Amino acid sequence: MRFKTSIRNIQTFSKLTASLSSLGKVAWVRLDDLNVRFTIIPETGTQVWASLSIDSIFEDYTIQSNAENNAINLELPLPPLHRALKSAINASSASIRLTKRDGVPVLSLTIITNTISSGNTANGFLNGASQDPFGDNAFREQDLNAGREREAVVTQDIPVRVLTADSVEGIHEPRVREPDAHIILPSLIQLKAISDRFTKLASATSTGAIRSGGANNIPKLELSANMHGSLRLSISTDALNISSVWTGLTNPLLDPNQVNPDGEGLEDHPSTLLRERGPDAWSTVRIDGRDWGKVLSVGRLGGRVIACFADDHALILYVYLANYEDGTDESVLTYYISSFSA
Amino acid sequence: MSNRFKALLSVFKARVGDPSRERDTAVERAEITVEDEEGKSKSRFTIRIICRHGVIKTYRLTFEAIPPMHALFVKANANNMWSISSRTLRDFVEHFGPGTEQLDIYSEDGRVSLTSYTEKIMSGNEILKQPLHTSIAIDSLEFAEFSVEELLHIVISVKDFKSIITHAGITSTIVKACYSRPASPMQLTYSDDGILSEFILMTIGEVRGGSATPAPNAPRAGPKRQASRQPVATASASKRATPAEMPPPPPRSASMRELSKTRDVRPSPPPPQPSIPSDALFMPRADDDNDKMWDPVNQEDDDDDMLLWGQGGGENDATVNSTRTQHGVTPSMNSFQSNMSREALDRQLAPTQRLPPTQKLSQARPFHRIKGMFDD
Repeated sequence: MRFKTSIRNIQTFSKLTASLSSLGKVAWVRLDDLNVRFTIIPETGTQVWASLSIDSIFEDYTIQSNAENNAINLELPLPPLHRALKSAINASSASIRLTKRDGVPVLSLTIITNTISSGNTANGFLNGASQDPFGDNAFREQDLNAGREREAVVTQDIPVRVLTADSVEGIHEPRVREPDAHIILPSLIQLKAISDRFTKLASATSTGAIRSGGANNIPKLELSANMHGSLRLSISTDALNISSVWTGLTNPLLDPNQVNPDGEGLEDHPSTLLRERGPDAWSTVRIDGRDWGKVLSVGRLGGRVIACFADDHALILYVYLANYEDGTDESVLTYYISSFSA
Repeated sequence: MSNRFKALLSVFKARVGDPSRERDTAVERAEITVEDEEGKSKSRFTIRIICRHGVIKTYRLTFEAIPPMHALFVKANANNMWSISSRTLRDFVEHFGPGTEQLDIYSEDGRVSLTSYTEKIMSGNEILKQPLHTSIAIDSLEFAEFSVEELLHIVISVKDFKSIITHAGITSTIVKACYSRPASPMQLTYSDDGILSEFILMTIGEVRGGSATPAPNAPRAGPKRQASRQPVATASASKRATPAEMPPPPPRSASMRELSKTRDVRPSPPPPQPSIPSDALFMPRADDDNDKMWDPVNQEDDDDDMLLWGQGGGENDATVNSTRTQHGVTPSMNSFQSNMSREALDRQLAPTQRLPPTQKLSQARPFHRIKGMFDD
């Protein structure tokens, strides 16, 4: 079993781990010849199934195992990974390999940084001056620049567990019925700011009885979409009822071949039916505001987000990441959010 | 110990906040008086902060006079020495994540390795809670001076080291470390603007047979030595501060006793310590950039590995530092492991509330493990 790769895009990888770790501390990571998958299945709350093209974060990627497609399954704690990647932010290069330390499997992150220390810079200049007091400044400084660049090698070992193929066989992506509405979300930072504000207002105005009643009684955000370009976010408590509506959004067209591979059209698709019912027909889900805030932290990755509403049932977000290079496979993070009953 | 300092710290804490907010009540000066006379029922450490518009804030802290405690450090025996820019060292130390306990330092072939690790043994699911094992390999040329025996492993508390270097990194100075053998203390010193900071750290590590008398490498000759801008002050000050006849720490210091006990019992390599759940590890640290805005609300920042001073990270936030600058009190900020015996802080401040002054430290907090000196 071998796995070794350079990290091509440390920023993206770091933002990915930050977004994922807000929903769960441990990820199931599946690496193989085709792609890199991160799956978070928390006990409660939103599941994330992320599938990334290898090229989007890695390069010089080598993987080898006895499983199909050379798959390796790992259980990986995200906060240490994120912390380790933080060390790499200003690195000149970083690579990861699967290895063992003291008999424990680890993902070993090797980070090479070129250091220019300020203390010694001044020092170097002084030395240069003493050796060549009348020399040409510009040339001398250039020489010193070349001379004082030094390498620091940082190794961060993240503990992992290697999972057998059998143990992950039974884990499947949730199945959700065809959605009633699908819409491209507005700017996530805006959506997040308003959602967080609503959640705060609701918990501040809810009465003591509600607060002591446990998590289930915390007011839920209501998120609705129609098939005419509108998204509505609202919350209501005994004391207040507020909502925000976005209009002019895009309801992307479905690809009939993907929805119905056997060639049937989309005439009977729930979203077609909702569209026909006009702009006052909404598909609605009720979600936990805090969980939603964690989901929206994916906005830091800057992807395009399509939300699919299965009325009163579930909300699925597809976050499409910009490709590192054109023509490579798409990277997509899928969030499965269950709706609370009314 | 930190409980006592917190009372003192809180007096000055508000002073380092947003300067614009305090425009109306800007501090003009602060006066410190110490009342500690025979016959008086209470010793008082009084701080008067005189603000604009005649606003005067007075803080009276009670304290108890006790003999100062020093850790013993014999500089003449410390034949291993390095010094480095505090900023450079801070940049390296920032790579160490939370949760580890030990820091191993050694050098080989011109490369210096700093490794933070834990001896906790985890099994099953717990494996994933193992903190990051971090090692940093740097060129010894990063150091202003480096004269250390090859392959000598010396192990100190990573938390203490981080605390000290975080403080040292507030200003651009030179941090100097002196030590002899594993299980003998290490001294870290730096100075800035007349403030001398000196720490004595306990060390552990493998005492290798066959080299009972360590012969450090020849000091690295090189132009880099001229780097330090305040080395003279450091050296002379530490000489003054480290008399050889320093008494050993009184047995009353529970913490110190614990430390030395652990050290004595510990063979090499040291045995695994009982596993301590380290939840701090599992909270991500907010990034410095605006990436933070993406974090969920109410997310507790549990990374309590970061330290007391400079909570905002800026130079102005250096609470401890600024108080000392203002008043010319020049103790090191640490307790019994460094010498804080001069001037007003000769006596340790008794807490104003919660703990009666007679309470022993051992009653105040559980000593089930080696506590970092900045632990609460």
